[in-house]
Amino acid sequence: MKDYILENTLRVERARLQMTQAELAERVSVSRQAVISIENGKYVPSTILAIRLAAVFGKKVDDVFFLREE
Amino acid sequence: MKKLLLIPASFKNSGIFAVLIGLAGLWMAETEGLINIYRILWPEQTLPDGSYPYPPEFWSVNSLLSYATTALIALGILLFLFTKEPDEFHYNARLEATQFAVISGLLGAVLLFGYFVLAPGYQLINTTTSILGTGVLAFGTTYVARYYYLTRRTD
Repeated sequence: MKDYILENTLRVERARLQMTQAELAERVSVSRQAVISIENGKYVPSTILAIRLAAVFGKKVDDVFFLREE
Repeated sequence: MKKLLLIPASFKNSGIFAVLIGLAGLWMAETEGLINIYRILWPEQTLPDGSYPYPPEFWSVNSLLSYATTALIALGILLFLFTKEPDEFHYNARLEATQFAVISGLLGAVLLFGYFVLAPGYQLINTTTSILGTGVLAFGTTYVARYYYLTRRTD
């Protein structure tokens, strides 16, 4: 079975909007630690949180989150 | 998922604080350390040889302290267990830390039990407290360590 890693462009999108981790965390009602862990690929967010994060940047989920083969 | 029966996340720290204060108070009650409070508040009662007589109401006050601190510990545990997590990240971290801690506690208890069975000179009836204590200690330390590891900031 192939293993996949969920990667994301949160850091890039944040930089585009000049948004801090704390501001993004506040927009989606999670802690800054959660945003840090998602950005670093340490934590895989739930579908609901992924949709909410993508919505902050005005993008679809698969524009922000994508799979990479391990 | 709605968690209507849970109280706000801000009470979780209050719960930990209550447990710590409760444990300190219970320790004080168990070791009769309350007499030192009497010494500080009413130093004139000290006898010429430096000893301090136990006041007549000491044991009732000590019992009251014991009951109150036990209740505080119970309240703290309830506050800790019945508060919402700040977000799903912390919810999952706490869940994983609990899973780790349960395995660690069980492993610690089983290993110590095995030691007491195999090592000579131990009567199993006298080892229950040690086994339970080790299990609880292993659970607590693993829980704290794993939770800290999962939620530490790496920015």
